[in-house]
Parts: sequence; C-alpha cells; structure tokens
Amino acid sequence: MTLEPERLNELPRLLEALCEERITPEEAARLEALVLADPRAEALYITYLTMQADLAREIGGHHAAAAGGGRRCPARRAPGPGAGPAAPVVVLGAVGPRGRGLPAGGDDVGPRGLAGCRRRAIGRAPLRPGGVRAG
Amino acid sequence: MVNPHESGRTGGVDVPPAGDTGGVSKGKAFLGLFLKAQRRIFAYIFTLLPNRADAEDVLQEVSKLMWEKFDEADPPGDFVAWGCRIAFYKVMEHRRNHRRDRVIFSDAMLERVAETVSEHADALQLDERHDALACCLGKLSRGDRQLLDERFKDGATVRSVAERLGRSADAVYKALARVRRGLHDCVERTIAAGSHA
Repeated sequence: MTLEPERLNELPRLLEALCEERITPEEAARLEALVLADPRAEALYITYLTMQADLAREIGGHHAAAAGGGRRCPARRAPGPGAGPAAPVVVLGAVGPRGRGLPAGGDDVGPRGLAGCRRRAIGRAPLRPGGVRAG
Repeated sequence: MVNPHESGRTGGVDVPPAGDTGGVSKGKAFLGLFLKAQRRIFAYIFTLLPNRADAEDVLQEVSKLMWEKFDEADPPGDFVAWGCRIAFYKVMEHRRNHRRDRVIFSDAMLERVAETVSEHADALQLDERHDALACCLGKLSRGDRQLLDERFKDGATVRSVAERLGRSADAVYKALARVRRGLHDCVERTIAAGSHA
C-alpha cells in the first residue's frame, strides 16, 4: 500500500520532532500510521533515524575523528547540503508478506541463533525528507 | 588501539576484561569484530528506541551479552546480524521496563522496522549512507557544523544550545531541522550519484 504523496509531506516535521525528542503522543501515532501504511515512509523513517544515530555517535564524542575529515570522500563531485533536488534513490519497493522480522526461537541469541539481519535486494522508490514523491 | 585485557571504553561501551571469562584471543577477536559492528548495532537500536540515552544504555547491555556469549572458536558468521538480534530482545526488554514514560510506538511498529532494517540493510544502503554522511558533514558551513557540535555534546538540549549560542530555542530547533534535512538530501544525492558504488 502506498499513500498519496501529499500525505507524506508531514513526515519531515514529525521526524524532526522525534529526533529532538519533542514529539507528542498524537504526532507519534500519526508517524506510526504513516510508517506502517507506506514503504516510502518507512524507508525515510529508517534512513533519517539512522543518520541521527550516526550524528549522535560521531559528533557526540565517541568517534569524533571519523566525522567529516577522516574519511575518503567520493572521487566524483557530489553536491553539498542544500544544493539542488535529490534524485530518487531508495529502496523499499514491494516487500513480501510481512511477519516477524526475526525468526522464531525465543531467546536464542547465541551466535548460531541468528538470522536477524539477513539481506536481500528489493525495488527502488524515491525518497527525500523535503517532500516525498510518489514512486 | 583498545587493549582487550583492560576493561575499557570501546566507543562508549564497556567491554569486560578478557581475563574474567576468557583469554587474550577472545578479547582480541571480540573487540575487533565489535568495534567494526557497533555503529550499525547502535543505529539499529536507535531506530527502534529513538532516545539517545536509552539507546546507549541498551547498546551497553547488548555488548555485555554479546561478550558473554561470544565463542572465538566458533564466532558468528555475521557479527552485526547477531548483535542486531540480541539488540531486538534488549530493546523489547527495555520497553517493558519503561513502559510508562518512554514508549511511544507500538510493538507492531518496532517489529516492522526491525524486520525491514534486518532484511533490507543493503537495499537501504545504510553503510553507504554512513560514508556519504561523513562527506556531507565536511561540506557544512562553519556555523552549521558548530550548531551540530553543540547539539550533540553529551547532555546538550536545544535549550542549552540556544543559551550557549545566544539564540532562541525555536530558532535553534528550526536551524537544526534545516541542517539535518540538508544533510539527508546531500546523502541522497551522493548515493544517487553512485559515488559509493
């Protein structure tokens, strides 16, 4: 299921409220409804929160040296923050029937009990926080 | 380099002394894998538990459990996946213990997001995004970078940042939103350009 593009326009505001820990219960419910209803919203939620986590860890002191200057940048020129429109990128297209992401097995968390982060390629859908577009 | 013999901070996580329960090889093997994996595991936790302090606490618990269960003679084939699996249960446990004050999303939401992150990390290009983010950070203006530096100091809040910078809290909040959205757009463009293929 996908929502009309305009219904996703409130996502950036909700994600910002979440990142700054000032989201209201009503806003959280709204954000959850969008994430559960549309793979594009879910992809944006995950990539935005992952970015926030990376910022917190790297700028926040644990790995400050790695942020910004310590990593080799792409050889090809990439526009900086605030430059032109983002091209379609990600990534959550048709996802198969949903069940629990983690396999049954209760509390089996030993090294042999894992299957939690297996990966497979899926389709592409546009994604950007400043105005999510339809796929 | 972290000495695996010592109880030390490994990016914010205390790993028990190797001598307590294992040998030198276990300590070295575990730390080598954990230091590479911890960013992904923390990000996984944070998507399920979007509160920095809580996510750090859970990462701490996860690291301890991973250490206890780690067998250097038979290490997990996918260390990140193993850590994510442990983290999922630790996040759910944390939610049960803090249900009154912190829980904002349903179990259904968490299970959905956990499944997607677990199964579609490659499609989401999470590792590539991390590399792109580092480059995009390097392109920020000095003022925007200072704003982020202030915001992500331990214990900082929008209000404390506003006081420090002599701006209103609302102005800081809006500026942070602008910077973060700009960074996300920059990452998207970088990924789209195929620079990290």
